[in-house]
Amino acid sequence: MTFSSFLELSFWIPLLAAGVRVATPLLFASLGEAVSERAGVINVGLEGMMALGAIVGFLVAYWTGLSWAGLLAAAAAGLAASLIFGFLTIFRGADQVVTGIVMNILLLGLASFAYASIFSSAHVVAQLTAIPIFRVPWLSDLPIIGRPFFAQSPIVYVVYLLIPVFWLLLEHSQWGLSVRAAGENPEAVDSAGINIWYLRLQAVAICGAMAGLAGAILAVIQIGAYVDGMISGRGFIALAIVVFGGWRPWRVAAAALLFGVVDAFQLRLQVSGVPIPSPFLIGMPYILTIVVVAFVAGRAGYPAAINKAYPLRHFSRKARKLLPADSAAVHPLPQENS
Amino acid sequence: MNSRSPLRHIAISEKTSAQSWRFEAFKVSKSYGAVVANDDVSVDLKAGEIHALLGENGAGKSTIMKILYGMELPDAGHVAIDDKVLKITSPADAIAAGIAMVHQHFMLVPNLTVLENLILGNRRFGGILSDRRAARAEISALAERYRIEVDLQKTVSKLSVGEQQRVEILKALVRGARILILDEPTAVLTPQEIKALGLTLRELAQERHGIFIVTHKLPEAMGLSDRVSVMRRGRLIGTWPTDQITSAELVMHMVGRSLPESVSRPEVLPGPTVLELRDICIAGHAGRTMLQNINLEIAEGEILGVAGVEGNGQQELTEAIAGLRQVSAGDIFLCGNVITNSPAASILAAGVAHIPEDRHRDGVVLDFSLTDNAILVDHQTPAFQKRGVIDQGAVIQFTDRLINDYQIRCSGREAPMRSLSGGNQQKLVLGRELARRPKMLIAVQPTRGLDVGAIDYVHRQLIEQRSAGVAILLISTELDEIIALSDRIVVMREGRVTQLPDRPSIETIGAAMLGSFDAPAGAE
Repeated sequence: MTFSSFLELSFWIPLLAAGVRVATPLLFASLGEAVSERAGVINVGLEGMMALGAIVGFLVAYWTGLSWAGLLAAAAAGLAASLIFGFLTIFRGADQVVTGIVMNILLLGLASFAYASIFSSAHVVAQLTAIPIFRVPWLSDLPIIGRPFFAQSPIVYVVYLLIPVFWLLLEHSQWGLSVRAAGENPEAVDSAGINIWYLRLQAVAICGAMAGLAGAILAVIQIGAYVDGMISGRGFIALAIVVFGGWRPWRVAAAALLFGVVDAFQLRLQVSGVPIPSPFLIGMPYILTIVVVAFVAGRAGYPAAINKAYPLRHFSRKARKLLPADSAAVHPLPQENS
Repeated sequence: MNSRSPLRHIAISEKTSAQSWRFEAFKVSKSYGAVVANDDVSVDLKAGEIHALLGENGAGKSTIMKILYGMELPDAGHVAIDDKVLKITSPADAIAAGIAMVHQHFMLVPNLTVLENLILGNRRFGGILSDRRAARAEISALAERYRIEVDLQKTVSKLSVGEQQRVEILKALVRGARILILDEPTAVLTPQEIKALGLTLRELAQERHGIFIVTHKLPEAMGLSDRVSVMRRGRLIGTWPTDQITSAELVMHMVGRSLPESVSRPEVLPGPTVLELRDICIAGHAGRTMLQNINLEIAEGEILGVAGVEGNGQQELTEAIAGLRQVSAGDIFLCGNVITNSPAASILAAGVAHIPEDRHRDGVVLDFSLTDNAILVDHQTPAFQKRGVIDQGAVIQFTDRLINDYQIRCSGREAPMRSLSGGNQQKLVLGRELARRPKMLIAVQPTRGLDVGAIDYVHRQLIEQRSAGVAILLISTELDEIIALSDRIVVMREGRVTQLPDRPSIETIGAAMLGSFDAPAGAE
């Protein structure tokens, strides 16, 4: 590969196409993480939840032969794991980072244990049938962007839809307003009469389901097999993408695409046989992650209440007995101008 | 209608049945472990009245408020409207019942706009997608009706404290609250803003809202309320119509004895200059300046009072002097020697003592014993250690001397700092700092959160140090404190210092705090 080949479209178009493909699972994970962090809960357990999604998604798809069933099961598994995480951090006040690390260790171990015990006797690697790409009529014929963006696996089009959905949800809905407030000043949310704990749990559940999906996309759709360690730090890269994208869906999408393109770029360099040792090339996305964390995260405005548990109110049984029995014993005062 | 009425003596007139109600806490008791926070407290509030709940810190005011707002449940007694017992177990229940609270630390999200804060959690403005246009129209109309001026598009972090409070009141009204509970509403306001708040509250009362003002400040309780209740040590001492009781009587009820005369300041001729700041500047975030050309001089035996609303550069000023923050331009002299940007340890060693604003964060370690806290600053000096090992004998002797000299009430020198009242904690900090025999004392909010007796004690100590020739920089948001103690007064606003004439009036100081005071030529 000569230097001049970098300047040709025939190099950039396939690179962009590969970048979009690599970015897709990253974007699933980081969109969910953005919601959770904006609610004030940092889910460091993303890596483990993606691994869980990968194994569950792979197993279900393998047994049923239906890839969509695998994705669904992976989302459910990720959600279940995130509920455990949410219970510990939101309702029991456990440190979010420590709990996240524990979840990683637990889930990564669980995934490889499950795979090893189920396929211990098999001599060949279990494989799924590949999912064909779907060319969007007309759009895929557009010059330059047509092939990278509109001749992809159908799941890529789902993520195109999810970006505006998350943007609307987070930036323009009443629910998103509460979520953003919960990450900045949970007291304000509580005194506004919103159930702050349940709200945060919802955000964490979305994050878990998205992380499970991200893992399953990798295993079921993109690779068609489960390999131990296949997540290989993508959960942590997603954490950096969220920071780099400033917790806003569109920018998070752009950041994910950048990471995807960098990863695709280093793969191409490896194949082309440039005289750079491959460990340095493989390390490129991780080096980019470190750069982002070092130079962007320091200045970025993390949600103020991140990793701060909001204490539950506990009322004694004796105190509760003094209250009227009927659940709606609230006297609404007359409204003005009635 | 709505002629601007004087602050009080408004008759509660012509009750229509729909607009007449009575809200009460009936025989409420609440204890936290062995501490009885509320003991058989009964207070009530009628439509169209402003009721001040007065008491010192720790008198149980905030507990009764939390019970009224559903954040605590009473051990005995109940909350009722028109004799109907309410089931309020969360702020959501309270809001549904028409009760809203304006907290002392505002419950606003700083990086959201005013409008977003107002519709937060309000189902009326949309379930999933919010209808901003309808919300804006309705809220503007409401704001206009109560003459609450506020820009709905502005981000809350850009508002002044007074404006933020208006947003909080508006938030209560948007939720349809008829009962407003205001916690220490005047704590962070300038005198002019307090006056404006009074007018707003009057207007609300005329529209048949009921307002509880919870405060430890006597003048505000007298100036704003129709009735006043006094709490002391968890008990309700009594309730009186405001115009039938005097301030002196209220103080008697609050402290259980009459207040000592304000401290007398003996004449002290200031000596040579101890601390001098010349054109001090501190750069803030994003190219903003936190401090701009600060020039100050403090002489031996002089108290320089720095007044101003919190957050106008006072913290940066003290940190600059104490060596805790980098100065970007200018010089600081201590007794003629340059100490600009010196390490904090060498500034302390040069004779600067510091009573920090937030004693829990910067002054003591709550879980450490009194002995450990007593040597927190000086544990490296030869007096307390030999070859790196702490000399327990010397530490015990020192701690006992502090406990004795400063009358610190505690269960013993090994008691954790947490078990002491705020006043006694502050006495230890004060004693520890003064034991270092400073030439220069920086006292930031030295009486915040203390009861009247402890305030008096701290004031006397500061005056005594002044007589002994210590230069004192007193930074406080309590104007009464500044006026009572200071030899000279300056005001800080937006990172600048305004020099004031000798013996300025409250109005002059207030004007300078708002930025509307024109300094005489050449005084900048």
